[in-house]
Amino acid sequence: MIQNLRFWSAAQIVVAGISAIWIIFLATQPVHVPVLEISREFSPLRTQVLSGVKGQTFVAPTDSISRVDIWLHTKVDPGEFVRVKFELLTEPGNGKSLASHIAVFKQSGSWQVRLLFHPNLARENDKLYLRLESILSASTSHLYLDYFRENLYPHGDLLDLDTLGVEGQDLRFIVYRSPTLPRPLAWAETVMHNTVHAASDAKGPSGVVVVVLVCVIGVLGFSIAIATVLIAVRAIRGRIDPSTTLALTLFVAAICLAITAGSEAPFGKLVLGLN
Amino acid sequence: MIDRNASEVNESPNQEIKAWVLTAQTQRNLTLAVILLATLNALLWSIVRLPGLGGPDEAEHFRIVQQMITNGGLPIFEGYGPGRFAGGPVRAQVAHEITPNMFAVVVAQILSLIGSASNDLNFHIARLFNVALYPVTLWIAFLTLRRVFTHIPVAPIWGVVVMATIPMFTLVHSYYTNDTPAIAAGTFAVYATVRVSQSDFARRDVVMLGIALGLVALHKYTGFLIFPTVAAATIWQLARYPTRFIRVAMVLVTITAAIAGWWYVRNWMLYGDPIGVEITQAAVNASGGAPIPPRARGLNLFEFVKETNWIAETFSTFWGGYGLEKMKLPGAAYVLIGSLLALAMGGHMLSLSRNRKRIRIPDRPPLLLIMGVLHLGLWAVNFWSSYTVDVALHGRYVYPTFVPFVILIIAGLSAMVPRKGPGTALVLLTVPVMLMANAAYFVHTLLPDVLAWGAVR
Repeated sequence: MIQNLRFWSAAQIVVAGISAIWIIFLATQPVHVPVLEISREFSPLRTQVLSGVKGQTFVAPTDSISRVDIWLHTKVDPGEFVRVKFELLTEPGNGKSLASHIAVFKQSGSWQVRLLFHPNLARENDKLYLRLESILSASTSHLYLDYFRENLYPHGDLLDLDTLGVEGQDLRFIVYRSPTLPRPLAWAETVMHNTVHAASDAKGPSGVVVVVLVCVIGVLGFSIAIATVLIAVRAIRGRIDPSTTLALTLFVAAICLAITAGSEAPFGKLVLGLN
Repeated sequence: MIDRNASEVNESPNQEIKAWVLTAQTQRNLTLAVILLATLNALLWSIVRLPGLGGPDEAEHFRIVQQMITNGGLPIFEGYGPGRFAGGPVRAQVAHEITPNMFAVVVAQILSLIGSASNDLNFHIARLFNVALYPVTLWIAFLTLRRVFTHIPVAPIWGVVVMATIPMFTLVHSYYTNDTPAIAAGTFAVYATVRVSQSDFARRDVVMLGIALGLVALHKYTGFLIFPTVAAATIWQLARYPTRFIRVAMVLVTITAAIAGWWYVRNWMLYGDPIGVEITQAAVNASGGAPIPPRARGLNLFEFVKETNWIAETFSTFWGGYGLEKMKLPGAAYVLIGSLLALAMGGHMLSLSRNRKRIRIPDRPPLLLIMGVLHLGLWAVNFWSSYTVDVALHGRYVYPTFVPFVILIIAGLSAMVPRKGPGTALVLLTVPVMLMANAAYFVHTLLPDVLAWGAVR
């Protein structure tokens, strides 16, 4: 019996500890609200950066944009490298440089590159140009970018050497803005913003109705989650045991966060701050 | 029957608390909360989907409603315009005007009374009827699961949560479509079949089954596999009592025909084709340029599967998505789902091997066999009609037998998961995870599909 209790205590500590670390880790990640994305119903293609310079013009869909995600692929032999300068400018050619960062890729792979910059750099409707300039250490190294051949984004184009090579192509990119609310409300803002926006596009009810509905669903879902955890604790322990309840709650919360916010974790992505 | 043992109080104080874990009342209250959540969730989904683009063929289904409002009476099929299916990937199996859908009559009648001049608003109002069917279907599913799994109190809750959280099942209840009433009628028929089998064809249950079959017959053909299944089960169970068998069969046929027979008589009188497949195929061919069905093109079954990617596409869209690229789940979710299905299949194998010495032909058909015939049979029928008539690349076509699917999964998994203590806890802990997975689909897939640049609209 004592051994059994000790085992459960150790298991609880491990489960609660790992879960808490994961929750805190995700909670400390910066929050960004997605505001522009090209539809996922189209499959992106890959274009090789042969000229050394590729870029995408776009218009800031809102104030406070603070992040752009792009997808690139490197093919690098051992001892070689691909050096890429990521730069945000006001326009192609002689545009003013707003922020930049240089990254060096020493291995082959596919990368979701998350470019972070200060939200004050651009205002709504400002024209912007995301420029990628690459230097290859050897002719056997290659750099590719994900792009769409169709003209899916009407307010900008994929450029080659800062000029329009083929009309109507677009880089695969997502634009985010900074939330207006502090965490943890910022997480709710990311959901509310797009839900209200979609309901408006769909000519559904007013934003207030949508917000109230989302809140009711959230509270009800949270209540069901708590109830099931408490019943689960009773099923294991025969009573509501605080330590088991805490461990299981943290465990479930960690899994739920992994499902909803796991893609925001920096694993498998290249996070670069443009200065 | 509910699990009476779950609420029994034992002598030991510790056991007394354990017995509380899932009383019938807790089971019901938790399920009701899940059903309320699912309904509100479907309402939210319906609000954010673009009118006419909520899901597969929404605009076409709404056109039938509009036709009934404008012209009065039931819709009449007048053929297809020239080149209607030319250059496209699909034909039509049965024209919407010939496919039975009495639910649309109700929607049209109410819309004609309270409808708006705004077509967008009318779309949203029509969707509310489909949303309203969601709690009905889920509650009937709960009643069915509670009857089947009397010995596993957590099973009905888990089954309802599965039905409340699978993204495509939520989606199909959030836009205007003829699938939703077919699912509700199909679920009701499955419930009535379970009742009638368990009560050995009690009079009240036979009448209920007749009504359920009548409702199925007044909706989309995807629910029709219940007819041969019920016929076979009735023969199996009552063949030894010919007089009783004839009496039950007559009651079922009479009630079903009284409710739905007129529709098929009408089709026969209007088109000379009660079911409508032949007249539709003739109209599709006459329109010119329509794709030729795979079998008529000379493809064998393997070539058909390879060319259309039928298995992968229908499997993936059963869980989420429509169109070739739209709104699928992340790859990891399919791996997880595939693993669960494999585990459930392993559970069935394990049960069979454990009970192999006791296998004999029972007096009544085992419920699992009925459920297997209903669900797997519908996959087979769907596959065959895709091969011979029109390629139907979507998993939602088997949704009228979703409850049988859930029963098969639970029965398989229950052979692998311990039923008490930690096993119950493990099952319960998947509930919040499934709820959150559904919410994640809403945020990461459904909303971007509405807001994304370049989406086909």
